[in-house]
This record gives sequence, structure tokens and C-alpha cells, in this order.
Amino acid sequence: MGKYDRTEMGGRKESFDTTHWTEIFRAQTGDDARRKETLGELLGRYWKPVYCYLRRKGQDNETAKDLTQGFFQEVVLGRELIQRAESSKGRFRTFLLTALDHYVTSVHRAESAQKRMPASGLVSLEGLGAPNVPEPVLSASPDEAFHHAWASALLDAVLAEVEKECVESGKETHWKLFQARVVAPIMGDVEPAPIEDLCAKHGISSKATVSNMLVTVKRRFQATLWRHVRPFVDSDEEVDQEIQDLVEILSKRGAK
Amino acid sequence: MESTFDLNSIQLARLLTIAGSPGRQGADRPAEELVRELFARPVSLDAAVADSLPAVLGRPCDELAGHVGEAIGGLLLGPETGVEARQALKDYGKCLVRRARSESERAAATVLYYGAIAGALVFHRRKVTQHSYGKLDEGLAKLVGRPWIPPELNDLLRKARAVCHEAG
Repeated sequence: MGKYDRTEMGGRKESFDTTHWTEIFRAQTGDDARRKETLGELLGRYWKPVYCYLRRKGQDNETAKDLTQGFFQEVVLGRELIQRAESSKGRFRTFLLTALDHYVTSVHRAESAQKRMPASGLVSLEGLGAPNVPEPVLSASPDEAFHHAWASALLDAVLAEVEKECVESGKETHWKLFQARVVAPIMGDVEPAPIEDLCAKHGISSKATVSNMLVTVKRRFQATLWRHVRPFVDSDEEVDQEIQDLVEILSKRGAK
Repeated sequence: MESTFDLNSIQLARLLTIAGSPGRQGADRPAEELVRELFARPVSLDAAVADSLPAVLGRPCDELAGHVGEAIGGLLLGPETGVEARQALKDYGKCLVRRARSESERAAATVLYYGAIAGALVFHRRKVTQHSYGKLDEGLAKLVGRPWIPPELNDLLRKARAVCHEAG
């Protein structure tokens, strides 16, 4: 279990490729059980970007948690947001951020936000735990914090799915190679393990085989990333642009 | 798997581009770049590559089994590559032509298709296609001299045209 899983709200164990406006719309028109289920899924998937944004807006932990839940419960599941989203044809990510801004503006004090919460909320706040906000987010602007957490949630979900697929299809060694040669060096800022070492460790006779196995997982990663981003844009053609936008936002932040 | 939440922004950006820069992954890339990448791609019998190399993993699999790890470009240009392997590469090229999403991808796949046929003609004096020599020469003529085709392959295509003229 990853170190940030103790928040118990991370969405990386669940695929969020089905979450889309249509899902939210179904939740609006469904019964309480359906609404509760969808709200739980939405919170699980998007709470970190929203929470981080609110923290960088100056809210304390408890208020940010309450506002996060209130935002999803009152705004995201509210009919007005869906209607505006359908007419805006904008990106889900930027639309969510704009809506969040409006919501925060409308809530003048943390106390008033808490009063707006139903006494027996649709989803308990207990599961939120005490999120640890890492340094890159603590030193970021609210927008940067949102995008940082958004990209992180996306990558966590994609990597978890690729790992699961590899393991379930009997390609655990493929995943281990990919992890050792590609992911771990980036996450740990270290040099990739030499292919010769990986051959020896996993009993693979040729370097070409290792290269092919790495290409295989990279392609799966690419396809999975595409599938996870697709629900947030209006067309297939916009998927690459959405990823490029995120990369540029992150790169600008990193260059500061 | 650790969460990526505490990574810095550059690390997140690098993870997002693991499989290549978005926007440069496919259809809009220039033919020259795609040809270079295709020629550098090693022959793989890894079943998981089936998604992208169906022809190689279908019937031609046996014919290419002895060339696993070798670059496709080297196989096309090498005189020692067998006719069966060239036939397999031709089939792979044909498959890629069908799946092409842009003119650039179609051009790169066409180069592989005709390059494999040309190699069989030049090195083995074998025609591994049902096209007539005349039709084949027409197809080769459309490619010869294109600036985005590697010079060695342009030479092979020229020689193949000469074989077509002799045979036709």
C-alpha cells in the first residue's frame, strides 16, 4: 500500500474511465443509493485535486475537507453544473476548477460551509483521514496544486491499471522490468537499472527480449493513459492535447 | 506501487510522457521519422506485441522466428535474409498500410511493403506478390527518389525496378 493510501480516499484502486458527465447525470436522476454510490466514486477519484486547491487557497484541513465534500455533493451533483457543463463543451478539468472557484467564492466562511452540510451527509467524512500534502503542493499556487494533484491521481490510476493488467495476463515480469527500468528511475530520480542486470535478475537470455517487453508495457501504458483521459475531453482528437496541456503546466511549474 | 502524489512537477511530466510526447505519437509525425522508427524496430515474437504486429504474430511468425531482436531495416536491406522472411515483412507492411491513420503512416508502411518485395526481387530473383512486373514497377516508381526514404533503400528500390524491366 502506498504511503498516501492512508488517507483512504485515493482513487487509484478503481478505474475512473467510466466517470463522465453521463454518469453524473444518471446519478442525478437516480435514487439515494445511486447518488451515494456516484458521490463516493467522484470523491474517491477527484478529492485530492479539489482538496489541494482549497488548502492552497488558505483553508485549513477540516474546512478544506468539508468544502471538498460540499462541492461534490452540492455542486457536482447539482443539476445546474451539469447544464452549464453540457453547454460549455469545455474540458472537465478546467470546468471543475472554475466551478470550484465559484463555489468557494459563494461560501464566505468555513462555519457557513459546515452549516450547509446535511446532518447525515450522503458520504461520511470519516474516510478522508488526514491527508499529507507534500512539499511540491505546499509551495504551489492553488491552480498549480490542483493540476499537480490531478496529474498525480491520473498517473496513479493508470499505473495501477497497467500493473493489474500485466499481472492478470501473466506478464508480471514485464511489469517488473518496466517498473525497474522506466518508472522507478523517474520516481526516485536515479539512473535506470542496466538491461544486463535485469536480464540476469529475471533469467532473460537476451537484451532484445527485455527491450521488446518494455515496449509492450509502454504501449499498454500509452493506451491506458489515453483511455483514462478520453472521458474528460469532447473528442478523440483532444486527448493528446489534454495530456500535452498537463505536461506543459507541470513543466512550467517545474521550471520555476 | 507508491503513489505519485509527492513527486515534483517535472517527475509527473516525465511519467506522463513515458510512451512518447503526446501529439507526436502517431499520425501527424513526418514519414521520414516513421520510416526511421519502423526500420529500427526489432522483430518481436512477444505475444503482447500482437496488438501492434498482428501479421508478424500470425502466419509469418515461423518465418521470422530466427530473426527475433534484429532490426526490420537490417532485414530488408540484408542480402542474407530469406525469401520467407521477406514475405512475412511484406505481409506486415500490408497490414500496417490497412491500419494507417494518416498519409505519413501509410507512406512508411508502403515503404516496408515495397522494400520487402524489392529485396526478394534483387537478392533472390523471386516475386513475392501477385502483382505483375509492370504493376510492380509502377508502384516502385512512385517511391524511388523520395527524400524521406533512406538512401540504401532507394538503391534497393531502383535495382528492383531494373529487375522488373528485365523480367517484363
